[in-house]
Amino acid sequence: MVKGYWFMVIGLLMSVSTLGQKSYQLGVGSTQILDTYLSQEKFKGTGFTFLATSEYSKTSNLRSALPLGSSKNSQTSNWSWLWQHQLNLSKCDDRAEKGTELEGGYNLYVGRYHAWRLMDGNLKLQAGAMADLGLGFIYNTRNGNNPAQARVGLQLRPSGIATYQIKQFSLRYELDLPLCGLVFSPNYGQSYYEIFSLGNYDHNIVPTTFVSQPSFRQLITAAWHFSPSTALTLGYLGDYQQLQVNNLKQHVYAHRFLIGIVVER
Amino acid sequence: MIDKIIGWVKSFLPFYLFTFLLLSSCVDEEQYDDTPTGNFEALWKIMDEHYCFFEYKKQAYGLDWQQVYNKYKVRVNNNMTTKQLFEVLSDMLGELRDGHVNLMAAHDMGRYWSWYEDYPTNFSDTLLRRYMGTDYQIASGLRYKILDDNIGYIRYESFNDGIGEGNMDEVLKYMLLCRGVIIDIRNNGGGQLTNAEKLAARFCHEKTLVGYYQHKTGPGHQEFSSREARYLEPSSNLRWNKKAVLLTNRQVYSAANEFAVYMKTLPNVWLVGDHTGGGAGMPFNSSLPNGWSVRFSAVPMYDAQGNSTEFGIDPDYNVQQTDEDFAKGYDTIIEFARQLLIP
Repeated sequence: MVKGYWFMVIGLLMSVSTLGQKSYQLGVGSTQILDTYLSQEKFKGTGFTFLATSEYSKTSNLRSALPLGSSKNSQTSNWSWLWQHQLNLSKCDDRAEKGTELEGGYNLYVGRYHAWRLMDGNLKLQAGAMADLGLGFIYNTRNGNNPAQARVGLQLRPSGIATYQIKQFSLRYELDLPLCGLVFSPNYGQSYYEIFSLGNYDHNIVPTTFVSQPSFRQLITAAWHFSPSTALTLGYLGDYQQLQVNNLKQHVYAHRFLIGIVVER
Repeated sequence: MIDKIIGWVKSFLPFYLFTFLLLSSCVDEEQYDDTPTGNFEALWKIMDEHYCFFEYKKQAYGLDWQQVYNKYKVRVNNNMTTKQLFEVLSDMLGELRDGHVNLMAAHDMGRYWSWYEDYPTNFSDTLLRRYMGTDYQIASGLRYKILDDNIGYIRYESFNDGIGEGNMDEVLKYMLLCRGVIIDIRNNGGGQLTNAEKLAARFCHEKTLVGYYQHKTGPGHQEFSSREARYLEPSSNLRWNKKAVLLTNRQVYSAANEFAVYMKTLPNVWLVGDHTGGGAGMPFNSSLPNGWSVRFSAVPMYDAQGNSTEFGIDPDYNVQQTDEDFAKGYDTIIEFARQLLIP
C-alpha cells in the first residue's frame, strides 16, 4: 500500500514539473525625487537598478529544450508565478546644484498570472495581480532634524504582460498599475524623534488607494535568443513611485535603460 | 472557481481602468522660478505651511504672516543682486523672532539673535577659568571639579557633546560626598534632546510629567495634532539625591532650554541666573530654488503646565552678574548658587 503511494508521488513528480526562466538586468538612467517632508524642491540625477526576474509555470511534460519565450509546443499551465527583486540607488541634486538627496530602495514583486495564447501561440497575454513590498529611504544631506524619509509599504497591483515571439527574438511588455496598499509615513510636521524615541504615533501606517498612491511601472524588453537556453536582453524600465498621504507629497521617477541576460531553467 | 475569478476580474477591469484614469494623477509640487521673486514666494510659502508658532506669536506680539508678505513683497524685484535678496529674505524671517529660523547661503547665515544679544551675557570665560583652574576633569561633554567649599561643579557647554551613562556615573560618584552640585549650562545653545533627557534623569526620582509635544498635521496655521504628554523617567543608574542648582542665562536655548524646563519640574533642583533664551520648536530644514537652505521651528514643545517655552522660562532666582563681583573675580551667579547649597 505504502509502495503504491510512493509510485504515485514519483509519477506526479515526473509528469508535473516547472518550466520557467530567470533574467538578470542592470540599468542606468535618470531619477527625479520629490519629497515635501525634506524639501519642496525636486532633485534630479542618475540612478542604477538591478532587476532579477523569475517566471515559472507548471508543465505536464518532462522539460525539454524549448525556445525561450515560447510555450506553444509545451503543455504548460495557464497559471504562472512571477518574482522580481528590484534594487535601486540614485544620487540627485537640486536645480541649483547645492543640495543633494540620495535615494535607495528594494522592491519585492510577487505576481500570479493567467495566460492566453493567441496568433498560433506567438502572442502570449498574461493578466494577474501582484504584491509589491517596498523598503527604502530618501536622504537629504543638508537637513538637520528631518534628514531622511523612510519608505516602507505593501501594495496590491493589477498587472499585465504581453510577450510576442518572432523566430529567435521576443518582445515583452509588462505594466503594473496601483490598486491599494499600506504605507508608513510620518505625519505632516512630525519628527522621527517623536515616532521612534517618544513612541507618539499619529496616522503613521496609512491605507492607500490608486488615488493616494498612483504608482505604476512599465518594463519593455527585447530579447535575442542566441542559444536554446540563453538570451541577451535590452530594455527600458519606467518606475513611477508616487505617494500623497498625511498632506505630504512624494515621488521617485526612475527611467532606466537595461541590459541583461535570460537563462532558461 | 477559476473561471468565476476570471469572470469577476473581467467585469471589474473596465470599472477599475475608468476610475483609475479619472481619479489618479501625478503627485507633484509647484516649483517657483529661480529668480528673486520666485525665491521670495517659495520661502514665504514654506514658512506659511510649515512654521509652527504663527498662532502663538500672533497672540504674543501681533505677528501677521500675510502682512509680512505684503511688507516685503514690494522690496523684491528681479533686478536685485543675490546679496540684496538675502538681506530682504533674512529681514522677513526676522519678523518671526525665532532663533531656530535661519537662512543659509554660501556667503552668510541670516539669523535673529536678539533673544540674547539684547541682554547682558551673565557669563564670563575669564571668571569661569578662575573657578575651574586647570585641574578639572573631563568626562566626554562634561567638565567637572569639586569647589573649595565641597560643592560639586559640572559644566556642560553643548548638548551636541555626547554623554554616556558611564560618564555620568563617574561624575556623580566623584561628587558623592559633596554638599550639593551646580550644573552650569550657561551659553549652552542646545543640541540633542536625548542628551538632555539622559542628564535630567539623573536628578529625577519618580516618573514626572515635564511637558507636551505636538506637531503640525497640515499646512494651515492651526492644523496640529493633539498634545502628547512627555514624562521623564528616573535613571536606573546612579542618581543625585541631594540639592542641585542649574545655572542659566539668555543663551540657554533649544535642547538646553528644554533641559531647564525638565529640571524646573524636579523638587530638589533650583534654577539660578537669567531668563532662558527659549527655542521651543524643534527645527526642520527645507530649501529654496536657488539652493539656499532654510531652517524653521516645526514641532512645538510645551512645559508641564501646557505653556509654550518658545520665549524661555524664568529661573527660580533671577541673579545678574555685577560689575563689582566681576572686578573682584567673582561669578555672582555661581556664588549665589553656593550660598543656596550651603545654608
